[in-house]
Amino acid sequence: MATLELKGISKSFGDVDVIHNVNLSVNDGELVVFVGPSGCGKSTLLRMIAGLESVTEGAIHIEGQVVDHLPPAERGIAMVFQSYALYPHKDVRGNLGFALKHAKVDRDEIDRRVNAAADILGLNDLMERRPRELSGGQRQRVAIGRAIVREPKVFLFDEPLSNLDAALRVHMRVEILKLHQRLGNTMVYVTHDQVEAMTLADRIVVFREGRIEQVGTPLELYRTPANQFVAGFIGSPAMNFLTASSNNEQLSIDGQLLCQCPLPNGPATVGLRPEHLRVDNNGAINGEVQVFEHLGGESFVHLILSDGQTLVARLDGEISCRPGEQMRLGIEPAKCHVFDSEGKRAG
Amino acid sequence: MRLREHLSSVAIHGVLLAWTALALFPLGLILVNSLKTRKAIFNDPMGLPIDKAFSAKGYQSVLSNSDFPLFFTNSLTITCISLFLILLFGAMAAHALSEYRFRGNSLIGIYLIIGIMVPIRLGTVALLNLMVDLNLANTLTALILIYTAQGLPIAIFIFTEFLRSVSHEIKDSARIDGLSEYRIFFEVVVPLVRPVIATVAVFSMIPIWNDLWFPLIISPGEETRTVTLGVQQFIGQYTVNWSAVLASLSVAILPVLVMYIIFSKQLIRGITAGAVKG
Repeated sequence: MATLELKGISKSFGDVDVIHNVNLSVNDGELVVFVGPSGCGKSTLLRMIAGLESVTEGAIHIEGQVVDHLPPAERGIAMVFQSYALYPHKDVRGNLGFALKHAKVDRDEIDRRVNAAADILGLNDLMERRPRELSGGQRQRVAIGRAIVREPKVFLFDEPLSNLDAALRVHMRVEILKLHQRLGNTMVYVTHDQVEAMTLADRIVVFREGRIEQVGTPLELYRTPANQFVAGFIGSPAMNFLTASSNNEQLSIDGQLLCQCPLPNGPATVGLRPEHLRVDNNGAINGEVQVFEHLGGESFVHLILSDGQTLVARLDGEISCRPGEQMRLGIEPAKCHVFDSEGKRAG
Repeated sequence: MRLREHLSSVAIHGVLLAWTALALFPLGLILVNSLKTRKAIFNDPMGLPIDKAFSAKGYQSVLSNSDFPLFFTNSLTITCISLFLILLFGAMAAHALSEYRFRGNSLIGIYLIIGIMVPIRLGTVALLNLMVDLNLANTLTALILIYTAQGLPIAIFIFTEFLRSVSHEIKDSARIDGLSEYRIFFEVVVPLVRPVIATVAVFSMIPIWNDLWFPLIISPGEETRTVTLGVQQFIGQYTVNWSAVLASLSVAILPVLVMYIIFSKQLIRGITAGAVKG
């Protein structure tokens, strides 16, 4: 059982605290994605799990054992880096077998494991090539192969797809997902791309400024974000946040009733996902079309409301309109996300 | 437009060719005159070694009638060992400076590099005293130590700049693969900066091979003479055996040339690495 547990982890560089008291447990065979804006400490935390950064406070357990004091090679982890980090002077076979050769693993065993990894990743035809003779996607596969060969308890991925172009990224994302299903290892995956997080993760951990904002399955985060930050981070295009007024537990915009929520009277923030808005002549939201983007199967409408607030709606591809026209949109009350003045979820 | 490009290309090549001729002229003169009789050297310094003017006497006296092979071995020993030490310690120091965060990192960096600005020859007297006290006067060891010290600052300076550009992720990846810090240096970092090593090697080698100052002062003994010092034996107070001087100089060029040819491909890559890295 390769579980990973972080207990009260903190990290400071000099006087700067980058990670504050993080507690998290990752179950055996789970793929957990750390997501957050750049500089939120997610990569630092991953490097701490790998043993490349020291832990200022707290303890890291892998398979129930404290590994804080162990060097990276003895933690039973393997890491895939953003820049691939292949050894340029070794061919693919050399790259795959390097760690094992250093661990003095038997030559036959090295060959067996290297060939097995090459089979999984389809690298058999590339074994004699140097990294510079490979494409980005192939390099990334070699980097993943290098991790597989070590047969680690926990895989760590540090933004492995960021250097690839968009089409290849989608392809490699699927490959990683297949790999996880095939190997069934515990994996921790760091990314700043919420689409990657949504598609890959069993559970997502959202970070902001060195703190965990929310932990949950992708759908939990999508449906019930714990706060305004998570709500804005998960989902594409991002959630619209409008200022509404709360009166007798009724929230309204421009005097039009939107939904009900037990909040004190005064202003409140309502989050509306672009894909939940629809054209509705009786809807609560009325605005002027600023920009209309047609993508074929769907279209994006950018509206400006009478009080100056803006919003984006994702609509059916059949709808068309022109800038300057008035448009009325509605939303089911159950799909409104309401946040209190501190940004916490209220309903 | 075509014509202008053409003209500018011709002009550039003209300047480069002129520069090459200027640089190669003294070398050519040495080579040509080393194959001439003494008389021919003075009567017609520019003339080619043909007919009566030709004589291999210079080479004969250098290769058979003198200790030149010994001097040559001395020079080669000193240069090779100093070069090895400069490259080893220079690259290791630079690796430490560029890879590890520790208190006083930049201060130590400046301390190691400041030698570039202080000519080591200012300390000749002190160095001579030191070597005499250490019983190292008239030994090759003394010269090797001095040349290593002389070459280190510039080597560390160049290495630091290039080692900083080695990806941290590759080193981290090697750490995860279980390599010790020494092995990371020798098996991952060194192969990556081979062109830079060649560059530093050439820059460090030439001043050592050509130096006359320290051999003359620290190790002038018969057994420890270097080529540059050995050439002096053909220069007497009243007569100079020019054929022999020129012949020995010609032979002395050889190892530098050979090493340069070995390193040159890497050297060009090293010099342009920063500029053309995509």
